[in-house]
Amino acid sequence: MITDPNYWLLLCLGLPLYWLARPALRPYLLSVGSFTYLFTLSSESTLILLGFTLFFYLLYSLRKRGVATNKMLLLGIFFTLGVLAYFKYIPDFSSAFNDEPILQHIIIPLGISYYTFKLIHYGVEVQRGNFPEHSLGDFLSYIYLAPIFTAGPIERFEHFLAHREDTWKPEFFVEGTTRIIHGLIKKLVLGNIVVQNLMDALPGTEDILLDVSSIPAFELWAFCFLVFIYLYLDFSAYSDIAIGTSRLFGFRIMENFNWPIIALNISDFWKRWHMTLAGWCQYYVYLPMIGLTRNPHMAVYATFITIGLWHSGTAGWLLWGLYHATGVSAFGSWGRFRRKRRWKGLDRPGLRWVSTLVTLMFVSCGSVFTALDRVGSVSDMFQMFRQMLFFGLI
Amino acid sequence: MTAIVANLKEFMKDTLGIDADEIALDEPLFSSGIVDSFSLVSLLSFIEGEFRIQIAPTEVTIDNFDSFDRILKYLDGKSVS
Repeated sequence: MITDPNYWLLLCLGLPLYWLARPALRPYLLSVGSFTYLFTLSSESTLILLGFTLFFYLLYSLRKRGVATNKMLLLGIFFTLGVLAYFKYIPDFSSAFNDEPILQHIIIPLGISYYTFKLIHYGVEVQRGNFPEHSLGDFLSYIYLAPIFTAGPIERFEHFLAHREDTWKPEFFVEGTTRIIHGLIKKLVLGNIVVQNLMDALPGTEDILLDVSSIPAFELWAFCFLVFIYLYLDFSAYSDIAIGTSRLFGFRIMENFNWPIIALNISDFWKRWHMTLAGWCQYYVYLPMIGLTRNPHMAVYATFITIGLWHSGTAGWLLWGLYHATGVSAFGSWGRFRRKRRWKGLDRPGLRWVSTLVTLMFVSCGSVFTALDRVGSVSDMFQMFRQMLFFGLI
Repeated sequence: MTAIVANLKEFMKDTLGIDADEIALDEPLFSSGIVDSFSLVSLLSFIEGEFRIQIAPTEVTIDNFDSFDRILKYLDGKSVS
């Protein structure tokens, strides 16, 4: 996004046009601008997704007239999930079982993970009757909003409608550009220069795959910590730029990160890391699972398997999801046990830094699964894990 | 209605170990983390037992249980007063 001149061109040309247009026309203008930009990135996938977008708006319109039933909406949602599975997971599953993937020619539509989750959210809430009346332009501008289309945040439609402003204010420019500059500094200076240089001084994934037992455990810990920090800087930078750009158009998009590096525990971490994805899963996976099973452990595992597979249908991301689920599940049981006995434990002010350090170590350790994903095997991941935890003694 | 809230707060305090006295009626419980995932299950079971209602799987939503106000509205819909 940020390295694409067309993105900045869209911003420079689109912004004055958007604010000069009549308010009723703006959603359509924004939709056309976003669609055109996405079309320049991937014409086939943009056209494929247009069909689904119009289909969901048709369902909303029919629902409003009392024609579409809950079953039709559910079918639409499952159909969308099927399409996501086809485009996103079939190539990965295919390559897992074949040396020469037969389905490599499948085009994975741009931003499909974000798009699908926004569409499912829209479908479910239309079914629940939770949205105010809205136009096709409102929906198209939400679903295609270029700054958030490829890398989030996963905005909620009611939040999008409630947090847009019709009158230009100078603070939009100040807030928007400040946020964009923050994002650029995070990405280009802190991530690409500072962290990248530190990583260059450590063994890389090739060295790890060659002979992990010859690498000291502390270097593996440092590697994992830097992988996590790089991912945080990179991803939150994209969110900053997306939120800042949207602000220039008068939208206040949902926040995606809130200093996850100072989280006090793994549960707190997931309230600070990729907040819109965690929130989406809370609404549409965790709570329905609680409703069905009344078992918080099952709900936690279902949630994190979803989060893992949402990233990619590979073993590494699935294991990463299971790793976090185990952490959250164990912490939940421990918290409950402690609360009943009213133990303060590490919640004492002087000891909070220990909680933060333990959380940071846990999260960094999980980078084993993502850093070696696609380049190493599951066995490589567990060997690295063992080397880090037992310092090569076992 | 105040009796229901007092009842819920007492349960949260005694059984879940949550200091519920100062929680406002419209304060988010679950999405803010005051009530964690595990305590939510206990709270749902308590509501079912105490008010003799059945909470359907599809009713377990943020809209119905994220604050005392929302719980009251939900119970009102179930004719609990």
